Amino acid sequence: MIEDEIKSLVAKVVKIPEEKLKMDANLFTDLGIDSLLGVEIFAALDKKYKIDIPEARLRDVKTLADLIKIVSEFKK
Amino acid sequence: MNEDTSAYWRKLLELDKPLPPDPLAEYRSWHRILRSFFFFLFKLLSVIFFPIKAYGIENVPKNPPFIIASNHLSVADYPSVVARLPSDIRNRLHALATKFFYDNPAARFFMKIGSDVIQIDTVLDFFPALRAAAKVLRAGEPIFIAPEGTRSETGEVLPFKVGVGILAVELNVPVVPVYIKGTYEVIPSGAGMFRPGKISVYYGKPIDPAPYIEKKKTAQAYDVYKEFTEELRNRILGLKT
Repeated sequence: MIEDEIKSLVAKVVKIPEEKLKMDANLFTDLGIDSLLGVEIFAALDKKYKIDIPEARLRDVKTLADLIKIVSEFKK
Repeated sequence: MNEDTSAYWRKLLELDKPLPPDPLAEYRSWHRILRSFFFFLFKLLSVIFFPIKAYGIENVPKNPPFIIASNHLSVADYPSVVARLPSDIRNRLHALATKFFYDNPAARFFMKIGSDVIQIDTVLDFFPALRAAAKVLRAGEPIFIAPEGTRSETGEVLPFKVGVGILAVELNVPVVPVYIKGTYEVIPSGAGMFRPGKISVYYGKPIDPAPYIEKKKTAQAYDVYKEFTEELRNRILGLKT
């Protein structure tokens, strides 16, 4: 399941236990992730799935669900 | 995570893109013709009203590119740090200035006289600013950054933004840590005029990013940038004592 893979990857990058990562929690305001660490998540996704997510889409991501949606879109 | 995530950062900073023929053109303005006079006047006023003591100025490399990074207390910080530098370095320095100041016409006027400014939007989008700073460093020029991102109202050194670490580690440029004392008393936040006082500027030995570049081979790139940034903050705090 791509959802589980992404959740696991995000947890590893931001060093937060997977169970604390809720789909609709705001990564930046609720989990205190700074925007540059957000870029590191994109970098890790870029590496894992060999996808090229444009920088402009960084601003669209607020939650784990947003992230999964974007990766699914670019994987197609 | 390994060094591969660094490839994404390099792509964001456009480090593998060729430089344009005149990469610094967009930061130059006619204001620079007033720069020598501005610093002459600043030094004259400082001799009379706010003497500046500079310690360790020999630590500033003679050959750019490099980054000068200082704590941030007042609008007097930048001129206080650069006034005593050799004129060839002073004239080549590009300061990173936040949009908040840049949108103020008077502040913008003086900033452009003092430096070939790179504007940063820390709220909406800082990548263009990081790219601009990277471009200037790649062109072999020095830059000035206040990594706190804003002025400290208490005198305490605030947490640093990681951008300085990204630039230093990805571009392999040394960072000179600088601690400033006394500028807040001379020009406090919101004050229209300076007050008499004493300013001290401490220049530390440059931090070489080489060990961090090596670390990036086995660690998450962001963690390495953060570690470098923390080391810089600690070195600045060390200059305080």
